[in-house]
Amino acid sequence: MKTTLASLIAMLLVTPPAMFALDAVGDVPFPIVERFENFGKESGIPANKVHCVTKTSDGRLWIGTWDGLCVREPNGQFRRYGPEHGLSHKMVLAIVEDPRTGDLWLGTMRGLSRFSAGKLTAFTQTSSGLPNNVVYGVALVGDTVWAATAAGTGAFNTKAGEWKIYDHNNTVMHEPWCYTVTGAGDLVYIGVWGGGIIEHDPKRGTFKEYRDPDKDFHFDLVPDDGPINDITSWLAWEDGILWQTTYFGFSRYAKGQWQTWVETRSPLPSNFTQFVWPHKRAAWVGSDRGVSVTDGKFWVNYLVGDKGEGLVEIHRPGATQPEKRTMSTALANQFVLGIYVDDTEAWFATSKGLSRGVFAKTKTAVAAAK
Amino acid sequence: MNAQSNFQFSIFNFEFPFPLLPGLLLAALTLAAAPAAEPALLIGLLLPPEESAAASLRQGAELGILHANDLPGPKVGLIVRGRPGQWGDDGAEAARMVLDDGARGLIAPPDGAASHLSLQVAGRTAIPVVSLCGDSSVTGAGIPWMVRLAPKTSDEARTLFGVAAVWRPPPSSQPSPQTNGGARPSPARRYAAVVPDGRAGREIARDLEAAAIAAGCRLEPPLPVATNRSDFTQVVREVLKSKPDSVLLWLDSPGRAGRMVAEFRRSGFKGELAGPGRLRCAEFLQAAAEAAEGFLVPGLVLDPASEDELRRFTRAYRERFRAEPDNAAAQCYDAARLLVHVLRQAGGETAHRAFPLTETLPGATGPLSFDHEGNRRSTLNLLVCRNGNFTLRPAKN
Repeated sequence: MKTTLASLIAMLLVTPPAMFALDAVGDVPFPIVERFENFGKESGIPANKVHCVTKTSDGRLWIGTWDGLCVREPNGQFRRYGPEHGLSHKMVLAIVEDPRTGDLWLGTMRGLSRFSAGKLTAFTQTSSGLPNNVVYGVALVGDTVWAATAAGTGAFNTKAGEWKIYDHNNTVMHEPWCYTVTGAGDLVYIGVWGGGIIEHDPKRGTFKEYRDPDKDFHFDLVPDDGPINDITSWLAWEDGILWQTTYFGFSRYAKGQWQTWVETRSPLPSNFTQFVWPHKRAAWVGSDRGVSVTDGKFWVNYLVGDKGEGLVEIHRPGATQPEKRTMSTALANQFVLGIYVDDTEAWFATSKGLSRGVFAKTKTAVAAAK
Repeated sequence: MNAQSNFQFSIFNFEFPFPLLPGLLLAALTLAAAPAAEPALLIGLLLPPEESAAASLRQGAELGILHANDLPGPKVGLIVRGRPGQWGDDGAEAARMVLDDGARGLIAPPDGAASHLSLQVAGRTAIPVVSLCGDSSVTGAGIPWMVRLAPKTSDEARTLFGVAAVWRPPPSSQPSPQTNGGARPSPARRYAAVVPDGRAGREIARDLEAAAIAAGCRLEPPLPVATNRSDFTQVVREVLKSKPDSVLLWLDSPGRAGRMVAEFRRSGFKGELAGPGRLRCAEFLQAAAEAAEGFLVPGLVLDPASEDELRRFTRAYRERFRAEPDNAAAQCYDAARLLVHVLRQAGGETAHRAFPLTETLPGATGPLSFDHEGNRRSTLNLLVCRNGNFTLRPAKN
């Protein structure tokens, strides 16, 4: 008996922690973050507030901060580019890569910037056809860069060098205030502050408006009837699914059907959702209370406790109570402004630093490692 | 600073550096002219150039900052920006105040579009905002770290709908025992409204219509009036076609509202004329002249602490600006003081986490108390213009 107990203890001691995570969450159909690694000023990030994060096709990590654009060097330190290098403004809100050229297009608080061959070029309201200098969102569809601005959406054809402006004067937009834009195959979706979502088909030149059908500012009176709210804070599209975040919950649109989630009727920890990154049919949602990951059935919430500890809640379909755990590490801050996820890792831009989410190993990965 | 240190050193050694005298004098003059200390906190006030109450708003904010600096805590400064030139825009100026100037909180003006542009910046930066706009869509934006200091347009309208109906009920309606002298509107009463054209008028019209439905009143579709229109004869004729008992004037500027009041009275209209609380200002009274007599506006009910605050504000405003303060100045005064209070209490960067605000503070416009959506908790009563002054309208039996 003693031998058996000793063997069991020895086995427990040598078993890597990931195995515990694996056994417990193996049923969750998307990656689980096992721990967080946090980066701040000591890593060369010039400001606490990190607004966006992305990894380019060459594997390099880029972040947009309150005080400049940064790239992570192989030594782990971040190198900064600011207005003195040609960036149109120090605060970078959005980054997208042109996968063909490797160019970066950056939305800033005063203009659109292009990072190409190590040089920054600024596009402003007075130097180009950009409709407004406050650029909240950027998307790339084919040869066209789309910039969601505080006074309309600008479309810059990079081959022709021509701009088009779309606002409340020439489309069905209820308001001119564009807060986000995303490509969706041949279509473009524009998130409008106070105007829901505009679906634009550039080839046909058509515009279709999706508005909150219940028209109530504060409550989702009828679930799943359309966009959850007309104040769209972010849009993302992948694999035929459009995701909308708002300050009153978030929505999904697929195959003509809407689905909505609010904190009182779902595991969503906060209605204040401000960013969504879809990855393999699951949405990674950034809010003022942390990160939620869901495929619509399973939910995993990464929260920060009162003492700064990391908390994870796993909500399974049909279960009355979530499984709750304390993590050894936590997000740098619960106010999450941007997310990047691929098959190997997740990155989170927060209002107090950058976090890397290290995934728990899957059964397949563990088997392969053995 | 170096020059100052050098000067002290020389005194202690009894060696006055005469060759450096011109430089020292210049440095001394510079130090004397410089402010005592840089403010540790900055508040931004967004003022679009077309804002009719711009001077009052700015002066109210200045006074609010001045009085806040009399209290213990970090010193506060004020930045005022508005859309510059043909290509400028309010959103960029709001962003500039936060990102370049370092403002830790914003005051958004009565204009709905400018308020929304400020809130968009706040959505991405978590900067607290106090809005002076009455549009319901402002708190409908859902920014958790904002409050609306002005009463909602719909609340002001409901006050006017309710009380006005009791004041002069139509002959056909019977007194209801449930009213007990309070505000109970008569469905038979017919209201008309005049609003600005464009986005501002669309939002006001929506709120007025919602208030009319809630109050059980009959409101004709509000008539939009172009902001560059100066001849109101045709407008008045158009409004009176529906034979309203009362007309609400919810225009963009107090001066235009005053001129329209005069035009209504010149046309022979004897019914009630009413408008929002921001018409309690000299510009409206001067433009309306004697036609302002009997004009109705809603006003916030003051508690004793707020009455003290109003007296202090009024006295200081008169002393500093040699003018009578108006409603806009008082609102901006309260907005500035409220923001400073929140920022000082929360300690700067985490100020957004202080929301929703649960504390009630005395204000020159009444108690500063807000619901969880950021709307001002307000009790409104009806003020009537008598001899060029707005006073509490006596209850009618």
